[in-house]
Amino acid sequence: MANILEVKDLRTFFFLEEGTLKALDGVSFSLERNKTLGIIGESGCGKSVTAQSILRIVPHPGRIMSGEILFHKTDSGEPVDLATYDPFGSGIRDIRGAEISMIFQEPMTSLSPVHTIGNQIIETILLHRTPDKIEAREIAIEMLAKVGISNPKQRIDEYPYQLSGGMRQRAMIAMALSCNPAILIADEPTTALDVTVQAQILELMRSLQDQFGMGIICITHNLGVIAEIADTVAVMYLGRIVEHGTAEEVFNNPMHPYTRRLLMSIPKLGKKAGTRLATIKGTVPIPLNRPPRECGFFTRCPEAMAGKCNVKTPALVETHGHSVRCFLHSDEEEPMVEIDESRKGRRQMLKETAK
Amino acid sequence: MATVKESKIDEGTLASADEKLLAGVDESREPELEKWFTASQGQLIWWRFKKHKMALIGIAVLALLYFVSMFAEFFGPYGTTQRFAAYENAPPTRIRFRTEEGRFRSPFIYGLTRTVDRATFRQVFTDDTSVMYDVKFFTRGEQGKILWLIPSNLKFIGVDGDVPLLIFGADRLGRDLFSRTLHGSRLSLFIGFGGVFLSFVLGTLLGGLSGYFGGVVDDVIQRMIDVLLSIPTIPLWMALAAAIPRHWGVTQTYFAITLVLAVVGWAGLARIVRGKLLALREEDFVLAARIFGSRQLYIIRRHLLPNFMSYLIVHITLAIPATILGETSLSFLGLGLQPPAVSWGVLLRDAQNITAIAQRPWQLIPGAFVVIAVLMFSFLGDGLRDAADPYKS
Amino acid sequence: MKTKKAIPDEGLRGDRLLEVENLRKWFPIEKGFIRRVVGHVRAVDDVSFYLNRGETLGLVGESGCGKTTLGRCVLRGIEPTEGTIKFRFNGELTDVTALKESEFRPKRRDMQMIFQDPFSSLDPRMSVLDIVGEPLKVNGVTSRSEIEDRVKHLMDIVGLEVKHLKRFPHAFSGGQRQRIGIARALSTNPKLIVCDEAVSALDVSVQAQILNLLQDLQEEFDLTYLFVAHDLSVVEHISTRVSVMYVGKMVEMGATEAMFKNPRHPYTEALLSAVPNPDPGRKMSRIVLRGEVANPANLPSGCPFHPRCAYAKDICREVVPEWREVDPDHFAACHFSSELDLVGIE
Repeated sequence: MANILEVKDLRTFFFLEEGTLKALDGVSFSLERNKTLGIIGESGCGKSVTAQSILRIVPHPGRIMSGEILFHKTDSGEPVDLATYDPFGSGIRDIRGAEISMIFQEPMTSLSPVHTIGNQIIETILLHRTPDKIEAREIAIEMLAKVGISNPKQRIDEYPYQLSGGMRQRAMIAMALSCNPAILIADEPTTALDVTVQAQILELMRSLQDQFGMGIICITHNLGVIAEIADTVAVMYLGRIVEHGTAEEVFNNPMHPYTRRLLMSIPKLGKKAGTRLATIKGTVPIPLNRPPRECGFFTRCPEAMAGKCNVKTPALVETHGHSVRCFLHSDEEEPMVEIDESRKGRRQMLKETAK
Repeated sequence: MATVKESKIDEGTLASADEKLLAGVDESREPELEKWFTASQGQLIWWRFKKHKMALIGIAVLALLYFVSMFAEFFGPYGTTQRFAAYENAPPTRIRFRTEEGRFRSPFIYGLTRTVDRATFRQVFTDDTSVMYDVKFFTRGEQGKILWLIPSNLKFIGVDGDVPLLIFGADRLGRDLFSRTLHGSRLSLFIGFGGVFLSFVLGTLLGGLSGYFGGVVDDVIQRMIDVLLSIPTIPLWMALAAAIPRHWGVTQTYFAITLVLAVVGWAGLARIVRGKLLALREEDFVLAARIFGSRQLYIIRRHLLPNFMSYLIVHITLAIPATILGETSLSFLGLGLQPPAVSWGVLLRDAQNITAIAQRPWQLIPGAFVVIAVLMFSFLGDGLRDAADPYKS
Repeated sequence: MKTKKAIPDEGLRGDRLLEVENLRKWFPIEKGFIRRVVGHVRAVDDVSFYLNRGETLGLVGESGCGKTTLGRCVLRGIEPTEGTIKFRFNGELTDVTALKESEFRPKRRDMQMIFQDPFSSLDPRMSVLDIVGEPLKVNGVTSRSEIEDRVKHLMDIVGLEVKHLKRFPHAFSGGQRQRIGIARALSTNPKLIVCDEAVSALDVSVQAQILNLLQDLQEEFDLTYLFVAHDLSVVEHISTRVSVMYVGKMVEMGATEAMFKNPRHPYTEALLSAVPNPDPGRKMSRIVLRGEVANPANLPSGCPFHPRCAYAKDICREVVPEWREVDPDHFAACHFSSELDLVGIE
């Protein structure tokens, strides 16, 4: 199957007063049509910044410093590199919401409270799909019906506060899918929802994928959700993908010490036996002013090798059917990439992207 | 205990030297970090405040203003009532460093001669270049009481001789505007404090009652505030100020005006106190304190008050300029302080008509002081507001 | 509507630490200037349960089901509207609701709470020493050195470095802050701790640390937990017994394993089936509930769950099901709990 999105060696840095925060430090993955990529990670691992980078909505003072985001609009034609687009230009605006759209964790804050959900969906449709208002309204009603909102003709004129959390998330999905996007990015789509509603939404996302065939990037910290919905899984830690493979591979045969410990540290339903949970010592560090060469996990890794993990960066290497970034499995090192972080370098980067 | 030990090392910072090396913790940065970790909220606020340049400028200028106003007897060369005949409405005196021949010398001034332009019947002041009067620092002048206590006739600046040094010019009675502005700033600046202090007391009390008791008390107080805030400020002030008896002395009027300003000012503050109190009451640490057996009063004193104090201070800082403006407006309209009291508003009354502004623009200088003081308070308030919540951002 | 007693006879009650009977918390809905009461939100509606010394009762339910309110009512953090809460002080089961606040205050030290939000639960203006030492101070310990020694000991117990005594909350990560909150709860040597979503706000890897710590502390100090949470896997992991709430009412309570394997209420069945399983091989068929959680201000007639229940019959629409013991120590509020063959977890 053809890739619709290829992210290559993406680096997004935030230039803070305290130093450079490397939110993404060389992230590469690809997404196929009609497939779901799950990105797992704890807070601060860079999973949300990945989504923001693809849509070019990285907040100030963040900036994409290097890498490519290749988006294949059609199967045969040349891909476009979103990383070179002007984040405020019309090029990316045509893609945002139309070809690539996004749903968020908290639908209440991402829907405008002063407009009806219908107006918000219609606005998107008018912007990208058709100039005809009556047709747009029909499409909106059809979309609401498709996401399982009963009585859509009446609901379309309701305001977000009149809907429950689950219904709002459905409306949000309807809005995101209204222009038939090639890619749907879901950032913690079910975190704010109750389990029974979460189950409804996950099922809805699966059935909509069958119907529309879009590629989904699902970002979450909930391993259960990822296992339910993802075909391939990328585990992120401190701005890098540390393990990447099919869901079965990653869950049944985890190779990176982080993935392994993470899977052991969550309580699973039906596997009680009064045991203690495995833990990972410490907390995720802030990727601020980190040494240039290291495996980000070595401070918490029980298998860390001094003189190796703290001075060299392992490469993401394909072994045993999936890729892992760890010296336990391969001695290969990530090649050094020089990034000019100075003001001049940043400006240079800005000029290049503006082209 | 064995089991506890195990879970204990899970988190916490890395302890042994080996681990530290492995973790790449930079030893040299530790004291610096520790300083930040053990910093109280007050310290954090101060550190953030220090980064706010405009606020620092604000606080410096305000400190200077207040300092000068407190020592007005020293900085102003003359008293507020000292008149100079033949100098009515005189323009600011030029301080010169060059003689007529073009030689540089220590600062000096010329006396002025007043003539009347025959064509326009306007007063014209011309320099009397016959005598040069030296400008002197730390000279002796009229007897005054510094800080209302210490009798002294020491002046910061003065002139050797019997011509006046009118830095900002003179008013229509020939009084030195510079000295009067400095003296006036004392009333104007401190009325801000007084008014705000009163509204602070009223606002905290009523806002606190409103937020704490809720229910009917809350409703009544809130409606009171609604009514108060719906009345246009200036007419309300005017009505209240008009009720002040004319025969009252300066001190009495001063306090009456302060009260008038506070009556209007407390409403906004009470709102803030109530809102903050309601929000804080819901914080988990307040519930925690209740659950381990704290009394209500203790919780208010230990948890609620300290936590909204920073917001109060910010609000107060931003309320002071409003009070200063209030006093100025009232006095300007003739409803506030009355001569012989001197305040910026009283001084500005001299600049009430077009002729005055057109012909004697220096009489607007007290207005510049009002603008500067209000601006500086706003800068300071902005800085405090940004710093007050060090955990945001 | 009278609830049958969920409490066994006196003879079996030696281990009883807490007995809650017919507890209600109704929040009035007021309208207009004169605050006329136009209705009630039945946050907790006629709930009865008990807790034995040393056990953990997990309290699960979806948002708005009243589990947090119930946890707070038990400690009288919120005053309950009706019902009794009996707690064993010095060997005597005493009705807490009958005590005046001033009588109850000195007894509060026996019942403590750990909060969900590790940021809002600690006063940002106080150092660890002050935070953890405050309950001691409030409860009459006056000597500064005694407080400091005790705080240091507590920090050691919960796995905080003693040298961080003077640090302020902003210096700690979420997990460490939660440890501070735990140390504070432990400071008065409580018998019961209500854990209100104590691990929900934490990262996955940190969550495991805190769960382990809670288990260790329970063993060492003979603690009893009322563990309020929405995550069924977490609740299953830590609880000896579980109780499920739905819009203010308890629908089922029983020993964890027995109940999860063999649920006796359709809602429990649906909840269990909705939990996503972190095992991509087992994409099992699931019961997806229709509709939304009922509005606690306007409950449906009969069984509050009937509009969403796949097994609902006419009687469910009309009669409120009784809270009854369906198996020894296994309670459920469903008309058909004996007839239905519900699926639990394997």
